[in-house]
Amino acid sequence: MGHHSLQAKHSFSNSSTVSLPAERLSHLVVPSTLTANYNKSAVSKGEEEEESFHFQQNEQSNQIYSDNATATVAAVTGHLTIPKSTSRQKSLSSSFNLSVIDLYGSPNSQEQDQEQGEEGEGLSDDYEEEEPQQQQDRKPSIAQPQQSEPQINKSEYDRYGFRKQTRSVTQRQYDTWFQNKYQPHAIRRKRKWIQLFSKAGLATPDTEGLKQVRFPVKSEKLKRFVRKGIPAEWRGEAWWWFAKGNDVLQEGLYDELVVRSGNFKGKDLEVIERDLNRTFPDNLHFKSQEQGVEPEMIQSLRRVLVAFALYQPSIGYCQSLNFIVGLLLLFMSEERAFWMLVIITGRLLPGLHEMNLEGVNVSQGVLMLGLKEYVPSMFKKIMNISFDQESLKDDGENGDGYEYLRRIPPVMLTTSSWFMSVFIGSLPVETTLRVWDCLFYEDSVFMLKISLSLFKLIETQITASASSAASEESDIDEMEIFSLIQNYPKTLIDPSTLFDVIFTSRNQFNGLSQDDLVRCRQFVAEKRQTASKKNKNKSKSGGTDDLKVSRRLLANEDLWSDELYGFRSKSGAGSSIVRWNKDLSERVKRRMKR
Amino acid sequence: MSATQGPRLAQFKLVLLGESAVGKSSIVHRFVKDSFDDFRESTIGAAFLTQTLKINDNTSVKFEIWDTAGQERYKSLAPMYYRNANAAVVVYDITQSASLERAKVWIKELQRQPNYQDVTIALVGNKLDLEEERQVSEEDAKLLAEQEGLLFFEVSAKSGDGVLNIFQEIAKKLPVEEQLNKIHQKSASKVNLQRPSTNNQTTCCA
Ligand SMILES: Nc1nc2c(ncn2[C@@H]2O[C@H](COP(=O)(O)OP(=O)(O)OP(=O)(O)O)[C@@H](O)[C@H]2O)c(=O)[nH]1
Ligand SMILES: [Mg+2]
Repeated sequence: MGHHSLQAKHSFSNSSTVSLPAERLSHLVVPSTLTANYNKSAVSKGEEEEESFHFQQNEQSNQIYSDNATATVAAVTGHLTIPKSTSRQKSLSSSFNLSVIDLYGSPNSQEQDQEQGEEGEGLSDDYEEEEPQQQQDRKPSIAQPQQSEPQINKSEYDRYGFRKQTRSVTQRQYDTWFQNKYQPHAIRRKRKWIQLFSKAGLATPDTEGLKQVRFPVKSEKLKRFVRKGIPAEWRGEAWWWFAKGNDVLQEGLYDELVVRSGNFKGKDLEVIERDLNRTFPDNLHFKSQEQGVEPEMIQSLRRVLVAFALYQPSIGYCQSLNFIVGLLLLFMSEERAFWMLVIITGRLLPGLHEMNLEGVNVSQGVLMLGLKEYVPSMFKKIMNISFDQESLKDDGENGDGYEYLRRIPPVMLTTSSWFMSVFIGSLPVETTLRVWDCLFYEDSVFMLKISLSLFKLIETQITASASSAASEESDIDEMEIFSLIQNYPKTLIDPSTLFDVIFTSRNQFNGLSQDDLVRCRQFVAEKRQTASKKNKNKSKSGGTDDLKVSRRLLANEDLWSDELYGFRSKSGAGSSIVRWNKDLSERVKRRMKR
Repeated sequence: MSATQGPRLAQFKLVLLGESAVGKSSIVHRFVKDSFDDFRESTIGAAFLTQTLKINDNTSVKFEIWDTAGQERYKSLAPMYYRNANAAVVVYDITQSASLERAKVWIKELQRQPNYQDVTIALVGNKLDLEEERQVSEEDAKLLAEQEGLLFFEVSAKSGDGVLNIFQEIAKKLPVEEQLNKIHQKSASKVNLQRPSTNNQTTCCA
């Protein structure tokens, strides 16, 4: 901070010609399977076979592995192969394999800690048990050199091709966390998943030649598994499965749209073009390796986005979809990414990407309600910095105390991207992926839970900084709050920091259900709708589009009863009914009597 | 209570507006971090940054900057950030004449705001380093700025040319002294605030 001078010119001449192919390519020679596999699918075959050989020997008893060697290799090395859309076979033909590093290492390790207490059926609903510490010691795999060790990815890039170092996290931090904590976690979880499939009598997604991947039926246990993370190489299948991709899939339509998009014209096309190279510029798969050669990933991204604009004219293209599709494409085919986008923008995040973005305002409003109920100190702070007393008083003609739903506080601008790009860029990659795992399994209420958890964590940060500032009721500076909300989540490389808040600390919002969310959305939309009706009478500007969306969000008006704005905790959870806002229900009762 | 004791800091809200990909984020990053990326991620929603600029020996201006997403539909979120802005930088790309048209729309939008008179607005043509691809002449844009009473600059976020100057010139136009005086009043009235019977607080700068 502070005074500085802009000695721009030479800083540019040093760094501008960044696209030096030589420099780029040198990253690719980094000795990791990730980079090795990136250009050719032909990995050093010998090594793999050797590994699978060990594996076979050690795990003979396990049916899952006995299928064939290749499947085993996949299980061990966790290859993440980008499947291709049938119609795109040609353009994508040059074996574009994204491989995860040898995350799982020697199978011996897996044998070694087979023992311990399996996912007991009796466990509480909690996220719970990160396995006890001493476990760590029983992990010879990590320490035993002569076995094939899990490869340590020393490259600058993570297993998905993202640069490990970001503005908020150093590569050292990343590597330390990943090697010491997350990799062992992933190895453990993968093993448990395999057992889970085995118990359910299902073939794992790693099984070669499997026509239709199936996941076990939904259960508390499965939910817990998902909350602890789906193995990276299964994510594509899992997301598709849990989001019920097959229900929306219209065979062949995507390919048709791609053909038709040849003559598609419009403003959206331009905006898409401008965003292609601004989508994950720090990811290997999205940046051009050779001057003038467009990466295949960028081509896929363009096709999906244009096809979608064509398919869904009420949305067309909205900045943020580029990131959503970009992330999907790292895990699934173009066709599936397309249909997942249909699901995300339609079912999971309704109205969020439409022309007027009213869905964003509604989501922000719902978050405000949630804060009021569950993180009241943050709610108060936000209200204090956003509205001076006067303007709250002249809440005036609406006079219901819900002005903040109509005039969303500016702070919430920093959270709009949480919803619009489903936390991509707002949270570190691995943490984002964990959120996505749960989102597809638990539906969009999960977005609210994560958002509230983030605010819980931010609240702790603020309290910490306030007490160090020695004045308890110190108004924390507005800017500090903005910065914290925007920047703090980016530091959460370890997903458990966030997930522990939701699942272990028995926060009441863990009990929120999808129905609760739907009711809240309706409530906020209704509040905003009355406002825009009034504004429309007052001034002519705007409002019409807002009305349209709100009306659609309100389609289910008969739900509008005394209960509808109440968050009810799940029955059976044993807790008393959490009233959304008693004050509010009173008001509405009165209003209805009138 | 003398107004000239120690270093003084005035704070102002500044918002960047303009079509997608004209280089708003690049300008902010040049100003705040003195760096440039050939490929910068497109902005979703809005990003918040701050930068302090020294304007004389004992006075600095702290800019609270909202860098917004440029796509047209994001306009519906805009009231959130320009509601209380003290300054607005409306950016276009000198190699895209359509982007100047969008800039005009933004200017109109700002002029409709109730606090328009109090907002310092700058029109900024970016990507000056791409002179050979220029589509918007300096004269045309300058004329527009004069007619609307705006500051005008041509800059390059890539080379850094002119970027700092935008913020320095804006700082000169901002009511720094006025705000510093108000802060005095405010901190004085804050003492009262602790007491239970606070009524009509004077609305402060914020
Ligand atoms: N040659 C040149 N390119 C620039 C300059 N400033 C920005 N760019 C490039 O223009 C593209 C868009 O820049 P951004 O800063 O992302 O644009 P933005 O206005 O923030 O766009 P949105 O976030 O979509 O609203 C990037 O690829 C930049 O590298 C410049 O001064 N000269
Ligand atoms: Mg930007």
